[in-house]
Amino acid sequence: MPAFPSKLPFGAFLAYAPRGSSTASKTSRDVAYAIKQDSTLRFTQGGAPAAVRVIDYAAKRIGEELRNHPFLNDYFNPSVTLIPVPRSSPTQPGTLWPSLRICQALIAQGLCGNVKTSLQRTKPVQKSAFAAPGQRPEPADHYDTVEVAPADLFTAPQAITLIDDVVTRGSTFVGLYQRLREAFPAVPIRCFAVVRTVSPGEVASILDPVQGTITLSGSGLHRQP
Amino acid sequence: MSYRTLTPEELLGPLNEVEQKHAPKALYVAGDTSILHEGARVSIVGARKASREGLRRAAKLASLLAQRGIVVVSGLAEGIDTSAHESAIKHGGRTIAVLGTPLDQVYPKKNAELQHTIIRDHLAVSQYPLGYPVQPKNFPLRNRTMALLSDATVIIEATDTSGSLHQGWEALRLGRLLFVTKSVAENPALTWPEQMLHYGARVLSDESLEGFFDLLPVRMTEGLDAGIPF
Repeated sequence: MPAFPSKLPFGAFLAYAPRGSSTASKTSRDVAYAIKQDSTLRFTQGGAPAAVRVIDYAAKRIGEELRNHPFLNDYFNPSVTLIPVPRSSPTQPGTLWPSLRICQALIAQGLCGNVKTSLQRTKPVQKSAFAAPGQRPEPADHYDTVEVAPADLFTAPQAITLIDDVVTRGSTFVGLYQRLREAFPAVPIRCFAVVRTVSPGEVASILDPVQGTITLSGSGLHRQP
Repeated sequence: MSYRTLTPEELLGPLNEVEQKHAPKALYVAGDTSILHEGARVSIVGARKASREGLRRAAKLASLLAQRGIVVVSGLAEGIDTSAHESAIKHGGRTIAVLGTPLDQVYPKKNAELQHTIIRDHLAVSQYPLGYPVQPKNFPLRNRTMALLSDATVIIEATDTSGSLHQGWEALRLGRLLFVTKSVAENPALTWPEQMLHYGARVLSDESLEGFFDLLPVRMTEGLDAGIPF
């Protein structure tokens, strides 16, 4: 069993309540869905219909919020190589990869140096959203089903930000952080999700940049906030 | 019958690059296109020669979706498709038929009344212009379009050569939710469920059903006059 970190800092930009019933919470579901699907949020403004590609818009907003939330500069700066979290199952060529799309959108905003698809899923891991509490994938499940691309093992980036679309408990980040830590022992590695889940409960504001901690202990994973 | 010709982007909004790859150039639509803005859309698809249990599962799932305001999408084919459409209508829900024929033709003929009802009260979509010849190759292409129109696809039952499998693979490529029923996943005579589960399909069971509903979009913003919410 690898030595997973007991405390892992993470960053997130938006909040989403999967089971909330308020207007803001229901809207947050649409935002999270649009990010996971690389799709459009349709809305009306002044009575006129409009649409926005949410991943591209979120990347733009992250750039705009760097000044208001200085911690974001640790995750996004020209020295950082972005590595997208792979999908939870192996994929065939041409399959939608939301985390890679997020990385590309952040690069297009000039927020980071480059993106490398260094992590590859070799076996499916059960998706946490569908699993009963006792069956949710643990960090070891993510660690065991992902490999670092051999071609990327010989050139260590200056700094890494691991990018995911949504963080729920943080199991993915803990498992994949350890994979990257073993491959690049001397490189600073940070974890960032565009959206963090708020469950149970409601979101007051979808825009809610935070830096928090994922704690791994004998009682399991705990993410704060 | 009145109908409109729209591009997929006019109907659904801007498409991403993965969606654009297999999207038809035009869609011919008859009925109420506002259904597309009313909530999540879930395809229920499967065998034409379905088992009695399969038909019942399709009807049950369609009723659960209808009760939650989720639009039931299917292909108007015999068997599972027919059961899904009829159950959605019976339970007061909305339904979309994605046809393998042009709008002015019906297959199978015995679904003429159902197609008429859907055009009158719901929505029918075809990627084939009026008068286009009906050929077997139209139907799997129709299934890819159905995947594009749907937030999630559920395959109720299907053989290893079923047209529904085209939809399953397309749903996975698009990154959409794909479910197969437990009875299908556990059928040792079939090879496709294991392949699709490897690439991200999930098993639909009583336990996973609520989690499934939670992952679907609400399409809340389309009813708000509030701009981009962040």
